Amino acid sequence: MRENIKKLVAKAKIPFLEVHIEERQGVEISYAGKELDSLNQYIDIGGNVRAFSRGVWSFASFNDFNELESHINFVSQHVRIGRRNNRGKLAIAEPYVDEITVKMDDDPREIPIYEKVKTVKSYNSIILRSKKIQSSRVRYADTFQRRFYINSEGADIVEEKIYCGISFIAIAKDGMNVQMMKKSKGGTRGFHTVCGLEEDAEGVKKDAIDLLKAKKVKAGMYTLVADPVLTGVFAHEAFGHLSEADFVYMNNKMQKIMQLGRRFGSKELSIVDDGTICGERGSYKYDDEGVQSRCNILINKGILVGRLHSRESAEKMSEKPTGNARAISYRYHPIVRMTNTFIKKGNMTFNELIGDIENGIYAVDALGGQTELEMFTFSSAKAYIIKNGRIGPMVRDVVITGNVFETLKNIDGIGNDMELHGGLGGCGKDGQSPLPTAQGGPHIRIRNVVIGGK
Amino acid sequence: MNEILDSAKKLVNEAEIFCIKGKEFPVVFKANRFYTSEKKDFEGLGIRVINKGKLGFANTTKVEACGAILDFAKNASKYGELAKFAFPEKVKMKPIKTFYKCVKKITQDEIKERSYYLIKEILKKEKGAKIDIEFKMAEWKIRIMNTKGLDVTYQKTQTSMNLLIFLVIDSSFTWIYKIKVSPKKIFINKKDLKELLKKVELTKKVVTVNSGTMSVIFMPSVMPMHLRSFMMGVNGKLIQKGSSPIKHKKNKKLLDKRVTIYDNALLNGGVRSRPFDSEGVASRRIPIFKNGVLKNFLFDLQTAGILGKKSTGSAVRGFDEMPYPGMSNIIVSPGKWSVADMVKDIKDGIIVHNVIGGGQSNLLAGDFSCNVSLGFKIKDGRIVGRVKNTMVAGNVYDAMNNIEGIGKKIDNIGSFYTPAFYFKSLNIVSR
Repeated sequence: MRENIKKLVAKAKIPFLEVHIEERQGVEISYAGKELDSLNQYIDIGGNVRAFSRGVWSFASFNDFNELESHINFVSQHVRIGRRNNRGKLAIAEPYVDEITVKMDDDPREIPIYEKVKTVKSYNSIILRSKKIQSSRVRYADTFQRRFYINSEGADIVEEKIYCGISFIAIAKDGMNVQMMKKSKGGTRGFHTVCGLEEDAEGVKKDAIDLLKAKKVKAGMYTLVADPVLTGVFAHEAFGHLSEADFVYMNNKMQKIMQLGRRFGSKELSIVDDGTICGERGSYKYDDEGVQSRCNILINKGILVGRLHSRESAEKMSEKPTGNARAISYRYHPIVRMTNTFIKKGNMTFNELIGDIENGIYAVDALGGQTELEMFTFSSAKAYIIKNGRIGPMVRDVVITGNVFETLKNIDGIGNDMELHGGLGGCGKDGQSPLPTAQGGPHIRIRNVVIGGK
Repeated sequence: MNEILDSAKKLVNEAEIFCIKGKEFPVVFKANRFYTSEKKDFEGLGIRVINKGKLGFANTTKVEACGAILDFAKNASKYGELAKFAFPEKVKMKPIKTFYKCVKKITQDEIKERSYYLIKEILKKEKGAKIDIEFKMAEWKIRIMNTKGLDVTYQKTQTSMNLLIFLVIDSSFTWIYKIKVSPKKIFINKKDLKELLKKVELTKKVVTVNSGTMSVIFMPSVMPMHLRSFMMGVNGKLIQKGSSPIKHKKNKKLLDKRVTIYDNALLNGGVRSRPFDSEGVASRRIPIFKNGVLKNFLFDLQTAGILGKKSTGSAVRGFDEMPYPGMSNIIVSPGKWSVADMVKDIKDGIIVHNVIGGGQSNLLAGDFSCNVSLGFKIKDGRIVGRVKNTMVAGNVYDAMNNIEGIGKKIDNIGSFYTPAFYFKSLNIVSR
């Protein structure tokens, strides 16, 4: 089929044409309460073609390969109509010819279904082993993905990936008071990623029960210490999305705000997006435009030094492609996305971070995060009062909001630990969700954080 | 499709095929310019089986792979939940129009002409604005078949238009947007444009607001966040699992008596209107809250079966998942207030048009705590400027007992049809 595609691509009279073909297969298992809620095994095969000419794209996705030629005709025709009065090129990228196959000792495809079910069931029964737990959800998913990429410049890449992960949710209830705790683990390392997590399941159960008794946080301004998961959500949601150049390049005012060389934080603050870290959920060798992933430093010692690009945005800003053009599946065109995003570790111990805080909040894990570029909001899964340098009682409903530029400047302490979290979910942007990413960092301390609540 | 069902009969006791096939045509303008025009063909097929009394499921986008998929589904049934229902043999449905031919007649030229007009008019008023527009038209066909003899189909059309104005005012970002969606032909029109430009004008003056409790108007665009909490509360799955906080509250008055909410899959021209649900059970109009009293929960066949109830025709699903109870069109009855009168009535308060972070709180419990991404301060009955760095928080079950007034005009926000709500007092945190 690849030879046939190459012939069709060569025939098209368009400056740039690319074809993706994707095969996915996987298993999803989910327990809700005592019962197996779903066990879903699937085979998904599809593809897309995309054409570019003078700043204009056209894209067609499909499941039926017999009509490939008509899809190529569609994009060729539409890009010709659209390009009138437009200009634009793509940054030069080396057309790689490569084949990456996955080999691992514990390939999830080789693990029998009953063993996967057994694993999920055992964690689920740990969570349910308390009268205060009303319900649970344990979800397991593995995906094998093989993606072919061919473009009119000669790139011909096959890359295989395997994702495997699990998530735990515990719901505790006392009358109208319903509390939830969740946690997830995931990556590209194989089935052992989801093994031996009994302590995590216990932790989720305990936290949900403890949250029933926790008081709502009193709204106000606090000094906040974020754990590595929340630090990751901040690095990704609040700052990371601003580094995605597909938005910046179209907007002069944004370009001024996101000018390289501008100071964003203290000398201790460095933020990195690195798609090359082995085994992490956001890692890959080639992005969906055939550009190699790499380690991109975004903030170095407080100064903005880089951003994330597709071939289009790189050309528009006269910078180099960074290997960040990604699509969640063949049904979508690639857009600029993050990989594994984190704040680099510093040198403060946890006790040093909280030591001089009179009245603060230690926020742990995130239920979610959302951003409108400048403004962000995210909620921690659980939190504790910090009183006179010591961790105090648990509080709930800690929702943090702020302006990213001010908040970055208000980071005044960076811990000496470091964790990356992949999980099962991922990032959402422009209707494409979830895209596998990882995020993390050390514990960090932020001054003057607005927390909504009671 | 019949052959798949025939081979299923040999392999398992009962089987159901859910099939979707369609096309979507997005046209996108980015930063004031035409950017891409796309075509997305899609098809998918989910097979649900009952074997030895237990449920199994598998799915594919490749019809040729159905043999393997059938085996997957059978294998899955070994571990599956006990089926507490039988597949329906037939469906007695009321006719409802879901397919509009006019959608198929929309041309690229018409979309471009209308989009360029909107961009031009906005740029006239606001030179530095960056405008993104996405117009989509789609048509698809749903077919449900089972080994009990059911074989039903309906076709659906949909158009949607999103317009996003991005402004940088004093190095601070502002987003103003409008989203419209309908099974009919729909565009953002001159009236919508006028409203958008009015908002642009209002955002230019930023004012501070003090933290504390005050009157708050939630425009219809914000209401789905609150309504989602109710929809979770009445979801048959959460009732069955016991995690709904209103599980034991049927026929109890939970909200202000002016609050009436229906789930209506038979709404004329509704975004989620359909003659039958995703299991082939006939659609109907279901009262959720009537004058503040909780009237019904939403069930699919399995959750209803477990609880000894009847399906409310509320099964929703994609081809790649098992059905579960969910909402169709949510219709909130209007009140007597105009938004202008609400503003006039407020001495100190805010009017909220958009929020971010609405989904992050404990939605099931009805809690909300979100950043006001577009909202204005009201002082002595007048809008005085935009608020920033402000959060609004509360609990929707409490708030809905603390209503000053309900708007008289219903707006359609996706599949939610709701008026604005005016609350006496909510918590505002700001700096």
